Amino acid sequence: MTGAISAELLKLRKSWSTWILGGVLVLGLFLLGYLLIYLLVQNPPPGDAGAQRGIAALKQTLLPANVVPNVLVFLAGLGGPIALVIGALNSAREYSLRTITAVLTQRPSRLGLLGAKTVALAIVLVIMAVACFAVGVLGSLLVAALDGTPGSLPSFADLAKGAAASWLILGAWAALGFALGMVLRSTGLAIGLGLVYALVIETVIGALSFALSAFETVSRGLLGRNGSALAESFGQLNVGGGQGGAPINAPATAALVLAAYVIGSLVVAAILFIRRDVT
Amino acid sequence: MPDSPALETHDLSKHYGRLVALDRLNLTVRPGEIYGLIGPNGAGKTTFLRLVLGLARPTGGAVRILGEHAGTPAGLARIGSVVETPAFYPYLSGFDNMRVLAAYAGVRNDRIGPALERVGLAERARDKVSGYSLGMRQRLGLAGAYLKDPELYLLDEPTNGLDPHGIAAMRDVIRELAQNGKTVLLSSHLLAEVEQVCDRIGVIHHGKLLLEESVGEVRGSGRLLVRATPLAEAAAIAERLSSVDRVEQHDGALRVDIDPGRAAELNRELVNAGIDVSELRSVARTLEEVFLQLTGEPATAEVTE
Repeated sequence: MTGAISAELLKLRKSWSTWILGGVLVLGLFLLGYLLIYLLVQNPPPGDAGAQRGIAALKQTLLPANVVPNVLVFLAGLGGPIALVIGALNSAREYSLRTITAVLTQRPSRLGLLGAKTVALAIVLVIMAVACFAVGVLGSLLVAALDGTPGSLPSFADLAKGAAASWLILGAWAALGFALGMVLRSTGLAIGLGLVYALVIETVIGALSFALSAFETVSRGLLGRNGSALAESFGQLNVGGGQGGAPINAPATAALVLAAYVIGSLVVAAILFIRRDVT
Repeated sequence: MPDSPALETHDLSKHYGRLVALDRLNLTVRPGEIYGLIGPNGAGKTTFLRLVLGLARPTGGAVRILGEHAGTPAGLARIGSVVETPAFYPYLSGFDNMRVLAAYAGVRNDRIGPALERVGLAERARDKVSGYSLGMRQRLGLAGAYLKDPELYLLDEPTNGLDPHGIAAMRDVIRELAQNGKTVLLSSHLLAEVEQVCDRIGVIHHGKLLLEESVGEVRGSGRLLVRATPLAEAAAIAERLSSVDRVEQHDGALRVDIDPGRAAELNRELVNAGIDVSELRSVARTLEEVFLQLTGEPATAEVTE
């Protein structure tokens, strides 16, 4: 399987989409998670005392001590859909380009190919998670230096735990995208439906869960909300100064739900990939 | 030469709902031969290759390929294939596409250069495949098949998109493969192409194998050219013979479908009836004629090439 893994890594490394999506993730974190907030903090809009307290709290999120929750909250939000697109591209593009025939007639078994794709995707997501934390650390140190605020970074163990959590969050989204790609065998359809789930269905069910208890139960199983719950377990960024709302699940439960998404998605993808004819 | 077939199918069937794509196909490809699988578009040729390569699963029957079941890694490692128009990663160069295929196949990268040289793509190897013509992609597909130095080549319409020089070169490549002891299964609807390179052919139509014989047998069997006077009377006598399948008048002569071993019988009947027979000889039929007779339709418009 090592040959198939190196083939998958070569394809991912040479694909512009990997670099663009990875770049959007890392640059997005720097711009939205640090630069824009820093500019906002430095040039606060006029407002009442509550607003000023919110601005001050926002500033705290930029400091090195808060790098883990700040990066995780960003990844649980914008990172999820990006990982979903990467996962969908990884599987569905073989069908859209019709390269799946060439690949499967070389040698690998279907399960071997699926395993190689999964491993390669996992490696790329590790790199992205680490890159995001590196950017987070640099961004927070830069803010601390510009602000003249002394600040210390979390321990390496906390950073590693944060990176592992972000990998799980990205992995769950990527696995969902991967499964959608296998099910639909169309890049556009897989990405489209995945984004509809991420941006519309999650939001609608999340909103309804405040009013209807049935939806609250459903929302406990949503991918995005469990990602947020896991992210918030590393420290809530209560920038509004009000009630942030309790996480939907306990951290361990949220991690289990995310792991279930990974396993469930891969099992569905494997069953379909092994049983269906290549068309 | 080993006795076991390179490829053998037993009652191989594939149904898509109510559509029967392949109907109990029994086909044998012998080691070292060039086997032509011919049939019109939609006859089931590509479906057959997909089943053989394990890309699709049969509804019934079985495939043995190089002694393995279809689609097993052990079998695929010994098969080189070009199925339909080869597809590649457009964002990768020709060389990188070969690196990907080599990695999947578990072969060393040092085989890539010679494979690209062999198909004449070495100079364009660093260009992205998105800029390749259809013919270049076809040649790159063949280079991908070379990588494994396989025992068996499955080539599906390998001359698609090639110019006349490319078609001639492909013909040479196929012959060279056979000379080197490789087995080739060539699927095509271009009958002239098959006729020129293949040792044996199988004719497939509506998912059924209608004929499987050597090209020589197919062309040479069963047709006599008879020049006789009066021609109409000779035709009537020939038609009355039970051993004659069909009689056609063409260019002042008769073409009689009959076992050539019965030529003397036909000659005797004609002479006994007072017909002057000036010429009676066996004639080779073109593959096109055989194909038309079997299927009742041309393979494609290109059938007359």
